[in-house]
Amino acid sequence: MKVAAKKVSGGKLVRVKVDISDGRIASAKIEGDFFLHPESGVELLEASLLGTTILATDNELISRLTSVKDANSLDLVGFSVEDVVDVLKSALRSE
Amino acid sequence: MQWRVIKTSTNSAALNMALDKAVMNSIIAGKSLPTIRFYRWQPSAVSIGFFQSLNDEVDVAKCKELGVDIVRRQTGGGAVYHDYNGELTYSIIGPEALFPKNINKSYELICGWICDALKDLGMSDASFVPINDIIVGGKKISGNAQTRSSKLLLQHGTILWDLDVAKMFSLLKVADEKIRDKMITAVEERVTRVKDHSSANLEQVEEAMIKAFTKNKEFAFDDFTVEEKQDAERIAREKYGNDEWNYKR
Repeated sequence: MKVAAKKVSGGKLVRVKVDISDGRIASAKIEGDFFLHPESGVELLEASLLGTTILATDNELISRLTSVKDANSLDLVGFSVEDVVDVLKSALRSE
Repeated sequence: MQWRVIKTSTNSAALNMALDKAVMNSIIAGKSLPTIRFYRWQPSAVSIGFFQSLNDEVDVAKCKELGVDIVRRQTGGGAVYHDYNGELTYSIIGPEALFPKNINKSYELICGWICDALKDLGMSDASFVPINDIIVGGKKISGNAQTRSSKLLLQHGTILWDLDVAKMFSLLKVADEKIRDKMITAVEERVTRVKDHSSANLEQVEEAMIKAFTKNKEFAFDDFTVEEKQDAERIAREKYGNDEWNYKR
């Protein structure tokens, strides 16, 4: 499992845990002390990352998460989809 | 709109969380009024936010050693140590329409009431720090967390009265990123307590909170209904006292 975290400036801690299989995200968890309304939305964001190639660009990942966020009227408090992607990319780069 | 105020009750962690849910169920069913309640935790407990990993945030072995309960909240936010002897928790549950639609504004409103209560107790510099904190003397004295569902808003939070900060941080794993970010190596420097600033006891803190929360509201003191208590026992058993919920992340 690859893990990375960051404290969002003026916001909350975001931690991403990913497992990789055949160059694609096989599992993803977005954890932290942020708020997300409705809370069930976190699983939708996590599910949207499954199957994504680890070579996806930041914009592709941001776009994917933003689509889910907008389609489900998710309210992210203390973090953003950009923060999730930033941490995800850090996790993918980690040993 | 009439509010119900339930004075401090002392319960286990699972039951405290379940009572909030039972009250929500009862309000939705039209059987209970919007409610403000106060409570303490016995045994003392650690609650974690909905999105946190229990094993990442809590020293489970240490909690078991010290007889400290652990529960996952329905709300986001961070890990909190609820010391039976050192803390008062509140919940406010009511129709979403009574609060600002904007989540940040609703935190500001409700946390503003807590600031009023603390000012009443002599802490004139009590202030709300977005997203969800209240500080006195530049240190955190209250944390708060909110959820919304079925057109209801639930916000709950703590007021630190006399907290054993060293014990608290022995039970919690504070992420290095947070400490690095604030450039403070001693986590004890980040929090404060009512007792450091006021001679008020927990009862007086409750009184001040009731006064602040009920200002400009029609209210009456009451207790949980029998149905709420039974529903809460069931929810505590099925959800908040269950490893499947608490260890879901």
